[in-house]
Amino acid sequence: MAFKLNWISASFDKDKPDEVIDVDNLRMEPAIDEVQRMNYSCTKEKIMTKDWLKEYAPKIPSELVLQKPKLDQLNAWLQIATKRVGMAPILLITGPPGVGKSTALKVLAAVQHIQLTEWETPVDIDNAELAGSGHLIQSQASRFEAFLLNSGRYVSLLDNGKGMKKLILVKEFPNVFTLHPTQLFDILRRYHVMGRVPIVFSLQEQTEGSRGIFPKQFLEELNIQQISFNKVPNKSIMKALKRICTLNKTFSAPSADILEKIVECVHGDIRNAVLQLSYELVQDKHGTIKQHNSHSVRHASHKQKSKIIKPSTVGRQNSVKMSKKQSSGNKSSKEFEAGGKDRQLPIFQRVGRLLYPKKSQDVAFLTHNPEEIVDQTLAHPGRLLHMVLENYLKVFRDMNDSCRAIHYASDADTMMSEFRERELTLPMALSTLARGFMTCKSTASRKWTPLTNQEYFTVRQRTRAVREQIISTNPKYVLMPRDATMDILPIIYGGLSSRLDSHPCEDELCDTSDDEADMVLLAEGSKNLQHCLSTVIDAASGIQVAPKEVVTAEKSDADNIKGEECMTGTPYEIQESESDDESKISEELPKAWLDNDIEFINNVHHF
Amino acid sequence: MSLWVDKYRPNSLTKLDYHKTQALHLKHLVQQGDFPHLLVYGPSGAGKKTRIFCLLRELYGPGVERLRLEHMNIQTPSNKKIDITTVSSNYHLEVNPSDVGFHDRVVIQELIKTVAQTHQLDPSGQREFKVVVICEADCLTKDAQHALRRTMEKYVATCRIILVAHTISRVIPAIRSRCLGVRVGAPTKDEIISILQSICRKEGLSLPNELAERIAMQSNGNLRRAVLFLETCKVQQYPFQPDQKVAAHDWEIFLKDTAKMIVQEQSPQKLLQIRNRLYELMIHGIPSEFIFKGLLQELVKNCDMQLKTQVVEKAAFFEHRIHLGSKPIIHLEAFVASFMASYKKFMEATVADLF
Repeated sequence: MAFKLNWISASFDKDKPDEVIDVDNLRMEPAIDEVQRMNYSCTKEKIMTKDWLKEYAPKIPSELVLQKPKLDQLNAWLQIATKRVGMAPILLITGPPGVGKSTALKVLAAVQHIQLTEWETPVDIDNAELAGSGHLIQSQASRFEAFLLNSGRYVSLLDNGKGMKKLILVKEFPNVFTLHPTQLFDILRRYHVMGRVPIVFSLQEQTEGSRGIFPKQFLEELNIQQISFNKVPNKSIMKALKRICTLNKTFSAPSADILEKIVECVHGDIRNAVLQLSYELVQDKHGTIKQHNSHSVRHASHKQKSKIIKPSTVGRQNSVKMSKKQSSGNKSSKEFEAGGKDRQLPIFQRVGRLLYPKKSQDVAFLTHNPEEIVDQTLAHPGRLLHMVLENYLKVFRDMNDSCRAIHYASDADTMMSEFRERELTLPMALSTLARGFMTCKSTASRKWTPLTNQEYFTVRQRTRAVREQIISTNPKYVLMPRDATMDILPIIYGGLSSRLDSHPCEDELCDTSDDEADMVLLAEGSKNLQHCLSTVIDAASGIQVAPKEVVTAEKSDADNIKGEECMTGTPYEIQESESDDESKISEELPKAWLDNDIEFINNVHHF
Repeated sequence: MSLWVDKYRPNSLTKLDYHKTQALHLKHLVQQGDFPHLLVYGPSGAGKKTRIFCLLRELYGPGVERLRLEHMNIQTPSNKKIDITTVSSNYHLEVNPSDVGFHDRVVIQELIKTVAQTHQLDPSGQREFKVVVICEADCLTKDAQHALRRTMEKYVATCRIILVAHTISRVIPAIRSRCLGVRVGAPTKDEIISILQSICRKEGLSLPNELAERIAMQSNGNLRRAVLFLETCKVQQYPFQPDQKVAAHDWEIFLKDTAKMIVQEQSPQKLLQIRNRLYELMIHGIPSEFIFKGLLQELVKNCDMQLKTQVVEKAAFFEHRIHLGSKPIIHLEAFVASFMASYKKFMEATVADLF
């Protein structure tokens, strides 16, 4: 430790605080370093400052920035959970990083006199070291389980909170559980029966494309309640920052401009906002001269994109735009140059922006840059295409508009399928898509329609199911699926829907009685032909079914065995998880959309 | 008893009912003892597979009739396991690589390699090569086709490849030049009628000529379909009536209804319904090009000459797009949308002319 301190002081002795600060380097350093650095410089100036995050952390519930209803929910859970006897209740808190999930829990627990015990994943000790000592080698999973059981049982000697209620907080898992979640589930099931102390899992929000560690069935099975926090609204962040400024006696309060810029740049991350603020203030104190190096200009131009450009006349648009860009770029770089987070939009909000494009007063410009919307995508770009396609018809009112729009989608798909020049065509395709859809809509009707998730993947799943059924009818059909589905199966089974019993055919749409008669006739015929079906299968059984033969690229036996093992397990699992994901999203959807919309409006106010 | 289609399938080249000179040529080709790679193409229901099977029987004797079903497990370079089902005898192997989507290249390479690396064990087997029949060769990806080209050259000593395709326009020229192309055209109406009559004779039924003609008309040159229709008719009603109804396939009816809906109303809401119906068709395994063709045939019936050219042009454009792109539904929808837009304009213009 001492060595480390030396190292830090040595490196910072070189550059005197009054000298120009290399912003590039600062940007690269993680937040923790920033804090350390600040500590250092502050001690040197004999100013008493500690970690701002700790110092200005909220102490009472009213200081928390989270939404009131969610806090009430959390509070209610805490009250019930700590009183309850019997099965140990479990809570799952999700939310993006830096919204104050843990802080909220700590504050509320402190109010109710609950003692928090936090799980820390131990660092593995080297095997060589262990060999000498008489330690038991324990797997991380069993350590985790032991922790859960023991923390409720024993009271620490150092704590004086006797008779306090307890709560276990888990913010991270041992890595084993990400690979084998079932192990975790087993431990929790056991704990649910045996344990007494409530557990709270505080996890990051499940990002697009990846699933959370807990599947829905499991949450239901153990009666786990879930509270998910949203991003902190900008107003609340502003309030919190102002509170810190008033509490802070050492530094003079920054201008409202700077605060606003900080708020704008952190995108609902309160922790980051506090760090930025401290950074800004320390810089002010030192009176550093900020230089416009290449980095700050780049940063400025990035920020500038989100600004609304309103050129006064169309004729001068280019020059005006350029000059505006220059001036505003310079301005922002003068005032603010700390690094911000990349903005991430949830997919529904992005689709909303594409389908309900906002035009600035001058019709020639769109409020949101199409490329930027696309850039903010986290999921596979194809997903955006599907989402837009799934929903555009509900929004568009005019046939010509939708015709033009889908034409652009067709262009985009063609470009996206070009694999060889992918780096080049993919952005072009997405840009075509975004611009196409944003410009095609002529009638501006903003009626609230819920966006739905993509149908495409359920369609694919059902296609697979139908195919499997075809093969189960007669394994020979695998060689000629086209002929089988088009000629033979319609004869054997009558009616498109009866081929797959699970979904109804939209027969009410066909209104011509003639055809219905046909269908009935066909159905009768098919009924009579059912006996042929059995004989078809008989004929198929003439083909001997050989035991599964494994052909792998590698010829070793071990690989073959491995291959067979994988074969039995994997494909179904993947399918299940996919469907799981989809269903979850579609459930969450209307609420998510609503929340996003509100937040979106908030943001607009702030701009 | 099995379906008539399978029951009355000819099993030797001499017993084929039509394209007899071609059959004779194939017989001579095989009698020579060796033959080049073949590319058999033609519309569905024309008898491509039947001819291949006859050829194999001519080549190896009745041993090829003892088929067995095998599930192969192949590992891709990216360590993904893929399953593929093959039908094989001691002498040949049938496989449909396009079944596994874009992994078909691996199937081609690994499967043919395993087949080709093993020589015929049976010393009494007349031939020293095995035959691999690749079904739906026109559905293979370009990658797989290029892989096939190399494989064809490398293992020519131990293995012959017979490709089956509906159209050769989607088979790359490199493969077309390496194979002997055999075109199996659809049978004519008279040929179909005579085949239907002969089946009825063997079954001991009497088939009125009018009905046979109608079945032949409805089947549209697809012999398999014609025989299936005949059997359906028999199950529905026997003795046959000359004016008996020949039921069309359910998906064709469904497609026709969809076309009617398009003509009835042109609005984005309707388009949404149409899209769901198109999805329904695709789920049931109807290839997108058939959906396209069926839709177009129905839609142009409602157009005048000027509109027809527009619609067909659009159709050609988007049909091409289906092959370029990866998601057929988008292009189908785009076609329907553009038809709706131009039809609506056309209708509005005619209504305006009336007043």
